[in-house]
Amino acid sequence: MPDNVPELQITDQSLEPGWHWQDGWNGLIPSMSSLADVCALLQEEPGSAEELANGTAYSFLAGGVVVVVLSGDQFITALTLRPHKLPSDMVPATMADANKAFGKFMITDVKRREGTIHQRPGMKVCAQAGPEQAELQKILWLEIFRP
Amino acid sequence: MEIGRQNESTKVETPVSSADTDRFRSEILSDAEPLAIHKDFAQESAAVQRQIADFQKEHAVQVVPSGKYYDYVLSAGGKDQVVLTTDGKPDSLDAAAKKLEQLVIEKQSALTKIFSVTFSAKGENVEKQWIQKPDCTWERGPMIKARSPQLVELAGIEAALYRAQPSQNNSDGTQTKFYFLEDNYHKNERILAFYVHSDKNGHGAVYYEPGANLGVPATEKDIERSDQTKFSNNESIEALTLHELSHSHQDRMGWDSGKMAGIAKEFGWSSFYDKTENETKYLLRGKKGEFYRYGSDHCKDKEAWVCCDKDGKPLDASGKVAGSFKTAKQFTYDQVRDLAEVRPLTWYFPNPKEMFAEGMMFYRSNEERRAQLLRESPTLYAAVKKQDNIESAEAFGKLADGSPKYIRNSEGRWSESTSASRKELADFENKVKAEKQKTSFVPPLRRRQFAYAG
Ligand SMILES: [Zn+2]
Repeated sequence: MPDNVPELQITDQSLEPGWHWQDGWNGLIPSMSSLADVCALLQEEPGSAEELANGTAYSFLAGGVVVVVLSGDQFITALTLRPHKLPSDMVPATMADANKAFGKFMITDVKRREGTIHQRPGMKVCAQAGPEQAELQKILWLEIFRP
Repeated sequence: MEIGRQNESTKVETPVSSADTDRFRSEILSDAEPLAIHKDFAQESAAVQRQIADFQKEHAVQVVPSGKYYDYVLSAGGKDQVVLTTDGKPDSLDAAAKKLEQLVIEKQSALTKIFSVTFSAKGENVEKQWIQKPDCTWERGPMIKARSPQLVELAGIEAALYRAQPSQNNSDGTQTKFYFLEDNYHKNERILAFYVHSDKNGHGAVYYEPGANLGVPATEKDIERSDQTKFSNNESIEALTLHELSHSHQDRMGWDSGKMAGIAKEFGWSSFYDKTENETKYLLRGKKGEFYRYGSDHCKDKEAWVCCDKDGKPLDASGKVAGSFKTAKQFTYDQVRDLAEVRPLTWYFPNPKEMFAEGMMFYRSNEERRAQLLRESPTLYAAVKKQDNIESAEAFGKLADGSPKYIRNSEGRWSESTSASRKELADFENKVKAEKQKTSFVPPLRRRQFAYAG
């Protein structure tokens, strides 16, 4: 990016306390864990592999967990969790749960169709936009990455 | 560790087969006794004429002086219908407004009975408005209020529902609610309408933004009769609703739960992981294996089409990484449509969801539009048809060979799958395929050129 293009950076200090990207998820850390680590943790081979233009997305637990491995990379770049496909003790189900588990988020996108994107360094959460209370905002997906 | 649970509905129903567009005139008004007064609008004062104009704007029916009476004429379904008659004096407009409100309530009830859909009430809370701050993050603003629909809107939605069914059923077992917003969902951003995955109650809904349907013909049949310098095909309330309910279809088919990449691949899109924004996004494939994407550098910048590499990085005219959208070579909508491996049917194809929704709108609209889709973009046609049939089989059941029990005929309506109906459809498709490639003209979307449906 050229210098004159302002880029959205989540640097608000108030967001810092709480989850840090190196905390990862169940020992899996983007840019540090490999596909083999994911297989070992979830005790299964990927259910399906989706070819991306610049890598591969591997799906586990019937699509509840998806990891992206970019071409030529030996580590996972991103890990996506879908709460409605996973047991509730594996991932927060609502924004209220996510706030408790990870700390504060900023709303960085309001997608008309899909929902609202809540972000903190190293994490993006897409939650239902309509309901006002965080307890009622169901999480559609949650992604962790190295910021 | 448990494997993911499935909560797909297995309820099988039957498509509703006949339109109900004639029932706008309520039974209770049939015995209304208009009173006599002779007057002509041309002779009325400016104040009265304004009163009539305001009335027509609010209710979208035309007040027609007819001898001693005022007729209130609704244009819908390709014809004009007198839905109400009062005595012909401006004082009657208040009473007419009340009776029209009753007609709206009755029409809503009829649609709720048939399709289980519901509608916003006047003054109902929608959600708090979204306001984007200078740093691109968002916060909630004041509560957006809703209004109730007009008869013309119900007519357009009704026409769309007969075609879009069963897509009005949400994936969570509820049915689409139609909201008519008094203010824009995103402050300072005006679009026509959009589908939301979750309204205030967490269910799928269609939001029409202020002015979206103002003066707009109810159905595609009404476009043909309307001032075509103002409206093009696919710009009726019916077409807009068909587009939005295609997003509900996508929700039902699990596009956001992992199915989108596989379906999008079938009509010319490749997914990629955008390392700049940490998100899986989509690239439109070109005929020569190149990629295009629609985007911008900053949230406040206007989005543009650029050629890009497999990582989504915009390229300059010499094919080198440009470093930004601004410095990349930009393409017009028409250029990208011509260059794409699978041709988008309209100018609205910023991502796979929208390109598909536009295709599905054509597929479900009428025979002429469906033929145009098949002729101009056979691959998109095939992708839409496949998903439409999957939805049909899930909702309406399958034949012994696993094919859907109901197929969509060339007119865009459901018919039972028999050897005769299958042959009729095959004949239609073969005839279109055999036609010489007409350079058919997609009319510029006058209303939607830059303020698209979401
Ligand atoms: Zn759309």
